[in-house]
Amino acid sequence: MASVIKEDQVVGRNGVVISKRPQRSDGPPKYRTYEVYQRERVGESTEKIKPGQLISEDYRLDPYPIVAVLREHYPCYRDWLSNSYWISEYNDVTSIFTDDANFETRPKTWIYGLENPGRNLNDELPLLEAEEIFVDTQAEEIASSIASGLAQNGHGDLATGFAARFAMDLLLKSLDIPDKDAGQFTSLFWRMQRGTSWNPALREDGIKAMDELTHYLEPIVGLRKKEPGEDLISVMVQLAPDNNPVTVRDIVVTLLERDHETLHGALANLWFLLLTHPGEHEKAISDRRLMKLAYLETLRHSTPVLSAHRFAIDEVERFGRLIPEGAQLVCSAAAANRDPKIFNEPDRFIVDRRDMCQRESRGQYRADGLATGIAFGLGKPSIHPAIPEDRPRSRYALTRDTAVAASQALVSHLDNIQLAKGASPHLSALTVGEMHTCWKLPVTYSKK
Amino acid sequence: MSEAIKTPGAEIDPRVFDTPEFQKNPFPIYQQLRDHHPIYHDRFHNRWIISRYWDVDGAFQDNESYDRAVYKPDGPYEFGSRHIFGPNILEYGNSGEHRRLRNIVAGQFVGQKLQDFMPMIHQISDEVIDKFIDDGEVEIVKQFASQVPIRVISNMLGLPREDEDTFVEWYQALIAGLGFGGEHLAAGMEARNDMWGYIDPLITERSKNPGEDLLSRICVAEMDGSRMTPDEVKGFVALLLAAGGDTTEKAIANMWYHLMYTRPDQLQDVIDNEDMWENTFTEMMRYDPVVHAQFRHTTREIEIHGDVIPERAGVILYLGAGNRDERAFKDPDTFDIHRDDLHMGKENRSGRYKDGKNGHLGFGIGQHFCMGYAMARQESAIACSKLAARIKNPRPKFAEHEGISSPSIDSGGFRTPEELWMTFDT
Repeated sequence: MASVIKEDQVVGRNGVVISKRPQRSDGPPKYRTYEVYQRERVGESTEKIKPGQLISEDYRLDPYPIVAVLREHYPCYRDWLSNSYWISEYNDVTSIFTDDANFETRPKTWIYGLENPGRNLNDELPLLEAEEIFVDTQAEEIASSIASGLAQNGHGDLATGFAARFAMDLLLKSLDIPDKDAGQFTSLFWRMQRGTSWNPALREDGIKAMDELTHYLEPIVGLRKKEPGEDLISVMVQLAPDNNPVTVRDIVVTLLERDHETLHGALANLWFLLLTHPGEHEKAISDRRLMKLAYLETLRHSTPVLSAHRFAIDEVERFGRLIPEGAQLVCSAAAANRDPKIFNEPDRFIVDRRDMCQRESRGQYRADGLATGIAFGLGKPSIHPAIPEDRPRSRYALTRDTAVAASQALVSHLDNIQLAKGASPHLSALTVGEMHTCWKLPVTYSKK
Repeated sequence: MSEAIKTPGAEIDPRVFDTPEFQKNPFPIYQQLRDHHPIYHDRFHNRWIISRYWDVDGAFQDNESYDRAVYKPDGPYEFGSRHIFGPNILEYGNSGEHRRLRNIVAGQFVGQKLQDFMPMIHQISDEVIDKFIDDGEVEIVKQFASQVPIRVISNMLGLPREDEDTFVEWYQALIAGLGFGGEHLAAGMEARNDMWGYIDPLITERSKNPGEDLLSRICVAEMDGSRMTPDEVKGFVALLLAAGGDTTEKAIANMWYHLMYTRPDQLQDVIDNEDMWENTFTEMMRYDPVVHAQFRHTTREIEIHGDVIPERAGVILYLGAGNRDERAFKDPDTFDIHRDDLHMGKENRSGRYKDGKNGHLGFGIGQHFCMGYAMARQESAIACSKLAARIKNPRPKFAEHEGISSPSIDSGGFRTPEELWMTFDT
């Protein structure tokens, strides 16, 4: 995600970077004479699926059978109802993520349509470095304290009491938000994130939450400017990208652009899958390496981020069709990750899968041809040069290591974790398009 | 006791646009859009919505900023093979190619050329009416409205009269195939291919030996030395069926619906004075037009009402909403064929009239203004007045009617009642 706005870019009032691509001066576009399917509703009627299914209640609960129809029959599906193109084969999806010359990501501030929203600092190296130090030193401790708290009861809910709580505690501690404000901050953060949904009521509320969060952070930022600590807000206030000091609004935007789904959603899905697949559960808790594999397999099998949007920068010919300028492409990770051309028995959750490699899930292949699966952190590699000694691990790797550490902490405090009697947990999104995860995961266990 | 009037609030859940309730009665949502969201960003459907009269008018007029085509007009495209309509004029957006094709055919539907077809419209209307006149009742949609326009087109094209029924069948399959629903596509494509197979030799024949029929005229019509290719002719014929057949058919049914149910007190006015059929047509096109929405794509960033629509964004122009805008019409939710603030005469593509009144938006405005506007109006008025003249005391067969609706999003077509029964004396 291009986050820090460069000087030579012109940004429209709604946050869209304009006139950044070279003008085409030498005549018509350079694609072959091509069959173009153009007219609304016409020639795009498809026998096996109706576009309404892609925004239906069925999709909200279980998108996999629906996107499988797309992948197997309409790999580049023109969805007239939602005015977008669905890309669903593994190789097609990855080809879009890596092609930032033709397809752009639009930030959450664009979705909000905010004028002068502030800057996203997430790619600033000092921030990443501080984050790496924080999670390496604190994550396990935070998880342990939650797990030991859970251990007292003999029963609990791993979705709310562990996955969601751990992700939020980690954020609160990393920003050094006072304990008394934790509830208020959490609520503001969630409202702000949910405001990026298509739902206009949530958007209105999200804008309010952003303002309230700005208001809340103002005194804190003032204090940390004077007396910086180790926390990430202190690190951010000392940054000055493009020689412009960081404002409170920049910090709010940085928090907004953070994908809250990554840790919370993936952890909840991981434990949902483990508990509903006892054999795999056994394997995963047997050692740390297998827990890491279980996490990676979770991202493949049940990613919390079902799809990512890209926008065509220019008219471009792809996947046997002409994609118009500005078109919205819905890249379905849910479909691609279960592509039977890439993964054997893709609908099965197999912790020690032989046909997936363990590299960052950027939707690529390793040199030996193993696919990585597609998760968040999609797209082109980090903007920072790949010299591991000189740079922190990517945010993807940090999230992975944090999730594995947290799960290990859980396993080391709780024994014999199993689903509570009568529980029938399932994955769902709050509304179509939002995080697809397990919201209730009641369990019983014994103290170790 | 007065009942509190419930004014619609600001909040619109974009899922409402896919509901049967909206297909049936979109007007409360239109009002919310106009009052609270003159620009509505519908993220659920990835589009922007414009709904006020003058904004819709402005977008229709501004071809520089709002393009009808999805793709760039200068691309070396080939349209058609998987397309129900085949290649046709609408694909070409605002380009020179669109102007070329449009100029070739536009003249065929107005003025003297249109008048030449009038006796035939009278004759066909009579033939259709003959079939049910002795029954004392008629289901207007199937027995009358859907029979006239397609037969008129078939005759205008100069197709043999004995093939008319086959043509009607092709037409129905084609229209059904236009929707999102997959099940009708195959039938639609088959009908299209059959129809083209039928028309192909006719095109060759009439290009060599043109007659007075529309097909001959289209085959040989020239503009600046340029003719339509055979493929373009076929595409145009297919388009003619939907644009000229389906819309007019719906218009006729809707006019009768409004006179029987929306405004029964004005039915007698129309029966007493057949000139009023044109007023009925105009007011129907304002109050609840056959087509409610048109799509455009922005060619630049557009600042409007303090908001910005980005470049290459999908924009839906709700002309059905603009027509009910109290900023343009008094008492817009009342159907009134004697309305004094609506231009009642023939429409034009500028949307500006000497009488200073506002026109309805039902035909669009500007470069893509409906080519068949004059024909639709005359044909509807003739067919309706013919029927009215041959029956006495027309009245609804059923006191209640479930009303006009757009078809579900899974099937093609335009707004119309599903059934419309009328009883009469002869």
